[in-house]
Amino acid sequence: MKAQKTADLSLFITVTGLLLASLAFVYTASASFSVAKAMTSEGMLIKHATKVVLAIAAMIFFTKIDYHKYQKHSKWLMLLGILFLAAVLVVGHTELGAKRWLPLGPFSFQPSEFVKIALVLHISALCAAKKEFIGDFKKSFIPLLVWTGAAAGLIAKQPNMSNASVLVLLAFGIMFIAQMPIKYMLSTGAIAIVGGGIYLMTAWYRVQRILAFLGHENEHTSRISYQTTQALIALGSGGLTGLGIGQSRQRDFYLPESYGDFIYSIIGEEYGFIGAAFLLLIFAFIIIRGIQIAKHAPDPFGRYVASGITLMIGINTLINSLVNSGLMPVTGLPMPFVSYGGTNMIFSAAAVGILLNISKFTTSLPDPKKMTASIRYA
Amino acid sequence: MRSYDKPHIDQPSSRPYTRGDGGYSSFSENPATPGFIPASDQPHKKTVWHQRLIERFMAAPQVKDPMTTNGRLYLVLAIFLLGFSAVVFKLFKVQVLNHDEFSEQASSQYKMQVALPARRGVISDRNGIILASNAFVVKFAFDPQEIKNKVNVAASFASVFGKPKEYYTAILNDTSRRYIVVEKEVPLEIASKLDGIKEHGLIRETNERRSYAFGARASHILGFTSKDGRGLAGLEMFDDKILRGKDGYTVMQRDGRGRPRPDVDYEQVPASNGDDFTLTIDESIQASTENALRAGVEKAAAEAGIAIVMNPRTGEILAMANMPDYNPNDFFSATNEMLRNRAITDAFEPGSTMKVLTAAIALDQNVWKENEKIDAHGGTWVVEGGATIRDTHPYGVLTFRQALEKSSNVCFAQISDRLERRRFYKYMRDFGMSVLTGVDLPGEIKGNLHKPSKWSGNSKRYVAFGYEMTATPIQLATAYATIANFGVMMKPYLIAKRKQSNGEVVVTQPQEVRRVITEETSKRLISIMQGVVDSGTATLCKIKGVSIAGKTGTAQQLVNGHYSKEHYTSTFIGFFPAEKPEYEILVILRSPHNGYYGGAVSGPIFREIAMSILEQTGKLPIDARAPMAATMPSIVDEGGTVEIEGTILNTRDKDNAIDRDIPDVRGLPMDLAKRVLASQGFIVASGNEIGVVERSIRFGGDSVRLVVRTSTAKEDNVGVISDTETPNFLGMPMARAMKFAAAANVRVRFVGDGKVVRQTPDAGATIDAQNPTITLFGDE
Repeated sequence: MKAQKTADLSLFITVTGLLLASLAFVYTASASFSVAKAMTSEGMLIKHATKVVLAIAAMIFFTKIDYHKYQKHSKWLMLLGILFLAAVLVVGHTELGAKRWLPLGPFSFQPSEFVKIALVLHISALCAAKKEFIGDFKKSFIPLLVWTGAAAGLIAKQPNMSNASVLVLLAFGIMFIAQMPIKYMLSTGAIAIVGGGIYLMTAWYRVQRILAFLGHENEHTSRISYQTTQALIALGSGGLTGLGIGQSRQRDFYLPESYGDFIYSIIGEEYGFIGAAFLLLIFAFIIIRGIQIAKHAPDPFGRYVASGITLMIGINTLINSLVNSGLMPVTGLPMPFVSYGGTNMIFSAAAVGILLNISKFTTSLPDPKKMTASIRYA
Repeated sequence: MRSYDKPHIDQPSSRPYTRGDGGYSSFSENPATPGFIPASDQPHKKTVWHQRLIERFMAAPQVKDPMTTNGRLYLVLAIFLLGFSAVVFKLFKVQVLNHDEFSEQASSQYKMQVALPARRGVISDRNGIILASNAFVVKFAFDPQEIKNKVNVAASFASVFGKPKEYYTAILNDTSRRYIVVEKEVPLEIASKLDGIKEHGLIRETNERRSYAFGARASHILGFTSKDGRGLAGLEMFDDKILRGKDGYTVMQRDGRGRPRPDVDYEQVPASNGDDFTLTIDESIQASTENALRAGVEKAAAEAGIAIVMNPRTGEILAMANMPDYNPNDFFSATNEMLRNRAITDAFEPGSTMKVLTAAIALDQNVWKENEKIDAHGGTWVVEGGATIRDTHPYGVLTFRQALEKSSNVCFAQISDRLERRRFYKYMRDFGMSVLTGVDLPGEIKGNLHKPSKWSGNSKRYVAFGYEMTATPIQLATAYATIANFGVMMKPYLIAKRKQSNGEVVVTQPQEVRRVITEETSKRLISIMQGVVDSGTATLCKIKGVSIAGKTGTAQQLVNGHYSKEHYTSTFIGFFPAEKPEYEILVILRSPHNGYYGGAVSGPIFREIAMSILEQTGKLPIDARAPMAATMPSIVDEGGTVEIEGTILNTRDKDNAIDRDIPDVRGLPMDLAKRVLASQGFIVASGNEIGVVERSIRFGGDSVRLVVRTSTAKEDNVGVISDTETPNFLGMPMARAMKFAAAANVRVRFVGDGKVVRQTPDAGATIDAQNPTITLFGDE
């Protein structure tokens, strides 16, 4: 199969725009930390900018690669991912009590981000291959579950509970779209919730986070609820129109990770409700666009991969914004394309590249200029 | 037993459970007869319920073509949009509806009120010599999380402060706190030894600490302050609030680590500094008084000594000294004995000094005449109730005048007999007995004088010569000052003026308390008191060419209910010049063990102080300057020669001795330190004009070099009251003029030597700010 047309320009422009806008967000949110660390306010910005360039390059690169190639090799990508995860447990470097990073020359990268994409590709490939007997418990569900469980289990071992959950959610999401019977997933989910509950209770810090979210105050939880409180103060003091660009006060060591997982609160502080809601609208557009690409994909694999990538970006964004607005307990998930550049930003951009490549093969993708109509239509 | 050969066709109950077209039953074991199994031989009949559940669960349902059904795709999209909507609703609630509440929460956590400490008022003597000021000291604190080289820091601190290294290591390992104070009130001299440590986690703060440059000088007047700047004794306590001022504050914005944010306009309420006090005390007279008292106390081996110098015309206290004394810079090491200001807190039976008051009453009431004869009964008089009144020396018949000169108890008991007891009591009260003087010091007590209704038959007689009552030294001094001031009592006071932080100067006006006796009475009395010095019990006090009036007192102390023969209170109170008294000096020794007569042990101290005052004011007659005999062995009286051991003290030369102490100016701002040192005649050299004195180095005689630290602290603008009018130097010896000029912050040029006989510009002229030099012409 040959690509019929050019990639979806509206999606490309939106994501590139977000990546460039993140330069402004990260600069204002990281300046104080940079000064404290290295005596220059631009230190972290320069690192971030390098990664933005890398991310855009990755996006363009993957736009040009025919996504059908992944279908054959997804198993090897997945095995490589699992190898990385195993490696990180052995040689990865520890930060904040968890082994999540794998040293890679001057950079360090989070294999879990790579595994997310590998899993999306592999689950999609399997679901496409098992299209005819997707309802078969043994032949289709069990193998899918094994792959997912292996990857999620290794990530949970780091320990990185939130990414493990995201991974499971992602895999189930693709299966769901691939018409996997809901009863399999629901019953697995029920078992997972019980098992996950036990797992949660095995680590004290997880219990503390939950307690903090439920409003239970003690000296251990106060640090965690402190983050949420400071995030809400940032948002709340921003008001309708915000304090203005570069006027954030919460970034000055009140809000930890103000440039990372909590950058959305800083955006809300500086750009107000209007800015924060507009940012969510942009993400909504990306998700709608992703779903449209999935819908119009020429084959099941394309459909599943497009859904998977959309899910991946959507889940990260939703959880991050829920945490920032105090609707969910604190997790370690960044906001895609916006948070201070890590592995996530580059891999998310690469994933969008794959999505863009799928869009080349779509038939009758709606015109983004008629978005209002298409929302109704979708 | 049922047969197999008769199969039942289409038995729905026997069909294995299947669902959907694509499904199949794994329990259709018999391939030959699918779905055609005798009911009696149904395998699933043997299966249990959970097996059936699994079977039913695993049965593959019919699946729709994923490429043509979009329902689940839309459901996913709907979930996301729903989630985003939830976030937007929450954002709307937080950012729009509750905006004010969060804004307030935000600004309350950014705001930090920082105190702007008020400067404690400076205390100087009447001539501007600074006695109490504020020195800069350093406080060290650790932020263990930020200190990298802990071993090095612990070792440096251990070597500088002499504590074990482990003490600091333990603090440095406590990373739970980020601000631990380790050393407080470290003088700059010592703090500078730690300048080499360049660690962010070593926090140096500059604080102010009260500094008394002259150590023990006037310590009982000044008092001292606690480390947190509260006055705990003396004037520091008495006028604590006025001296302390009022702290201001500034509201700063701080970041999450508590550090102030730059470039924000802060709301500010400036500190209102404490008032600067100028005392009535004359530092030079105070110094000579202390030196003379210390020497006298040592010589007499007394337990304690008290001296007060007062101007009887105004009530100004020129000096007030107590022995033993203490250094207020180090009040912790002082004992209670050393801390007591006995001049106001000790009341005791005054003894013979009270006779002057009795005589004043008798003369004022006109019931006795100066030359009227009184029988002294040979020194022993048995009164009603069998009590005996004794004199130290036996006398026959004395005149009223002689009775005071010789200090006869027997005579004074008889003198009091002509006085009506309530009138006598009222006079005593008017002289201030058992009444607080109201001097500006804390803890004054009022002594004890019973009301006449409580008196026994002989009480009046005993009170007449100073027993059965108690009085404090300040009360006695005030009562004698009344006589010296020709009958009008002045309220004693210590604070000449104070300058408020707004620049306004409040001057204390001398306060007349009451007229007690007539001017005529006082003049007659003064002439009798001159006789006490000229030919009575106080001949050791004589200074050639100066008319001195006074009275001795030698009182036995009541010890365990008996009048002791070992513990005496030896007093001399006198004033001069007798014609128009300007200086009154009270000297009391408590329990002297080497001689005990007031005239013998306290008299020489009086004389020493008086000589100093006369010298300093240039009023010492030429012929009095000649050195006197080292000892004056005897007092001559009518009854023969009485041997009294007495010695002339000589403390005055010490004032100019090479080894005099250099004032402690460490931590003081440069300009202040220079003034303090110059006022003591030291010549100051230093590289820097601005900064804080780290330490002073003395080169032999009078040269002092100051090591100045410029980076340490803000400049302290000490608003010491300085006169804008040219001071009067006339009559002063050159040395004193120099001291005086330094204190008044004016430059002087000397022409000639000796006493100042002329000055330009004249006293009272406005000082020329451009050229503040005053030329002084000496008489030699």
